[in-house]
Amino acid sequence: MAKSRAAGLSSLRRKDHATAYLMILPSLVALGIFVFTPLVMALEKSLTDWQLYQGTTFIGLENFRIVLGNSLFRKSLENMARFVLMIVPAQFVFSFLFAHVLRGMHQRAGALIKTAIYVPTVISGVVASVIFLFIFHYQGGILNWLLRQLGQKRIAFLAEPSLAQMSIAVTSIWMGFGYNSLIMYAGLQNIPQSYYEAAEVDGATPFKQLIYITLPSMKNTFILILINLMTGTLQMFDLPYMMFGGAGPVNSTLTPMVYVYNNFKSAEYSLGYTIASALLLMIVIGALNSLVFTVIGSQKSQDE
Amino acid sequence: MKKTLSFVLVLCLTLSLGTVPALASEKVEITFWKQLFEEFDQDWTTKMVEEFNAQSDKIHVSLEFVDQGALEERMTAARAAGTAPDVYVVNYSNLATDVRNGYNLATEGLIPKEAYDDLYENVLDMITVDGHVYGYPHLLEPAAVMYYRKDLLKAAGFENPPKTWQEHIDMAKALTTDDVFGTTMTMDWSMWGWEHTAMGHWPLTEDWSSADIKDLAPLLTYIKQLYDDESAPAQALEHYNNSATLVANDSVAITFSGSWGIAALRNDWPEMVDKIGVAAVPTADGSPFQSTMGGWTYQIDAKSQHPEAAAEFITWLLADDPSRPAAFFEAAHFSKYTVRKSVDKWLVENTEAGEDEWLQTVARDIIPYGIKEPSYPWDVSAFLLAAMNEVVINGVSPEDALATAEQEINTFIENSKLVKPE
Repeated sequence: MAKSRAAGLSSLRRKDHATAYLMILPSLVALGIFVFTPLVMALEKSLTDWQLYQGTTFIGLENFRIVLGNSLFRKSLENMARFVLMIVPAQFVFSFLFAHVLRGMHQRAGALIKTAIYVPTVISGVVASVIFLFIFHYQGGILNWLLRQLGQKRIAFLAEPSLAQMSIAVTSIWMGFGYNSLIMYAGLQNIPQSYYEAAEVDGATPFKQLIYITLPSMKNTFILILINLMTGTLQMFDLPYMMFGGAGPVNSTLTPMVYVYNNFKSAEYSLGYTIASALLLMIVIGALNSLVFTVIGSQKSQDE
Repeated sequence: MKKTLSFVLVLCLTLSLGTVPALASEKVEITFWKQLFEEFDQDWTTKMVEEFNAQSDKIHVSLEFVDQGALEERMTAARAAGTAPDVYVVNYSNLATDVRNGYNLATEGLIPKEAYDDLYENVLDMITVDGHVYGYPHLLEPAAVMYYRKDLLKAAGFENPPKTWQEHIDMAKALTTDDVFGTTMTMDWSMWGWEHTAMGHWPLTEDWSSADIKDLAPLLTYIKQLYDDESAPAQALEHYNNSATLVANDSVAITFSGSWGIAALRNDWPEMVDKIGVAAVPTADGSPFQSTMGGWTYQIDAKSQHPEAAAEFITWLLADDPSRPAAFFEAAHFSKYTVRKSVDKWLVENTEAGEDEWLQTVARDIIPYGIKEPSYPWDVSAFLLAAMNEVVINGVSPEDALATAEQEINTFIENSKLVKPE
């Protein structure tokens, strides 16, 4: 009896497995066609001097050697690191704090503010760039107008390398602030109120509630936001391209994506070279995202 | 009865569908991609293509305008997919690289020899790569022209625009007020002419084996002076391509842009034209400035299925009746320059070109000293621009900035195993 029951369960499990595989099959096929096949092809092309109209020669790791030796590519990686350090922590902290403010707001006011802060998210990077180009304009920009009204000298926001980077960071934070704040807000709303009530009964201060309840409960939300922010920043293209035409003063706004794009459209280098630089960028992004997962560590909801 | 009627209807429909492609297929279809330039350029191109299609019973040209910034990437993608257009337009400076990648078709034998004989010699040189001629050129555009406000200069006590760097520094300083900058100095690709004029050569040795930029220090010192005096805005007010308008909208007294700025001024600021003058760019000692001569040439894709038809279209459009290209230059308010002797003659005889003050200045003081755009990789220019920015923005001495740039360029040459093409 027990034997036949076990066999029945085993058969059910096999059926479950079969159904599960069937369900993920379309995704696997799509991934195979649109991700893995191009990736394998890219790896192959990166080892050649891929010519569109002429014979292609296998050159081994030569493309990777040239990319890694190119100081503009290295500069773009350095800029990328700076942008990550400028944008990710600031965006993260501001969103977290603002989500707290939102949670404490009256429902009607909260709804209005939520809509208002989400507006920049639906604006494209191109439009946002144009808006901020007007704001940072040397002669007619509102910031320099204000400075002049206060009797101060104009500031070349888009010409001085560190200010140029900051201009991009500010624009990027403005664009992502609403989305990240709402995700944080949703995360905060998900924490059971009973935790805080119990903590209050036990005499926990608001700071202790933050450290021992809010932060651990928000772990998964933090991972989502950090991964999104890191990936978005590492792949930044539209803002530097629109605001600075790519490289910016002393190549300070040259990002790896702009570097890859410039090589793709230019006929100066073979496409194998471009692909090699794109693959290197992919490795960097993958490694940094893995680091985020490892440092924070995902977990299932504590309620379960 | 109903069945019979339906049958007849279906038969008629089938027959009519069959005849339409049959008529269309009598003409060879060629595709033509053109960058979206000025409105007059689009109007002229569209009109010409329509005229060509109307008069040709063998060829039909399918014209598509492509955003200027997106053309290069679109061409790369189209070449990879095997869908590149039969005819496209490319900048002279990119032609040699394209040819060496095998993208273009040599057109000797496809375009008549007389058509090439009509070209100015230096222009023929611009479309000749490794001894072969590619496509047919459309126009020349000096990349560096000085635009200045006559009234502002006069009010400040200056009769003529600056000819030397020192005059430029002094005038710009005198012309600067709270609201108007004395001059602009945009550091981007347009610095090619400044670099070549200052050094008398390109920033690489003749064989491209190393950097040769030591003679660039005076140019950097001069630019730095303009910034130190605050005569030039510390941040570009406008992209170089649109900088000519800065003298029209009262932002700047002296500015620099390509000759295409003339058309922008005449089209968008007709009321300001009398107040604006055009001259050659100042140099260290007042000797002629060597502006790079930009411009565009029509090319046939190496994999075109209809090279003869493509060549016939290009010949009809650019190399045949002079009145066709002449209409373009007239619409451009003579801000762009023809590459053909017969078109020049036609313009002088049939238009006001011979009496146009700006055209005469450009033709007399700028074009004769024009030079071909450089063909070395952009990275070299990027390192030089970074050096200029280091001097102007970060206060690094010209010598130190150039030493860094020299090292960067030499490393780039070594790393990329750069070799000058034969």
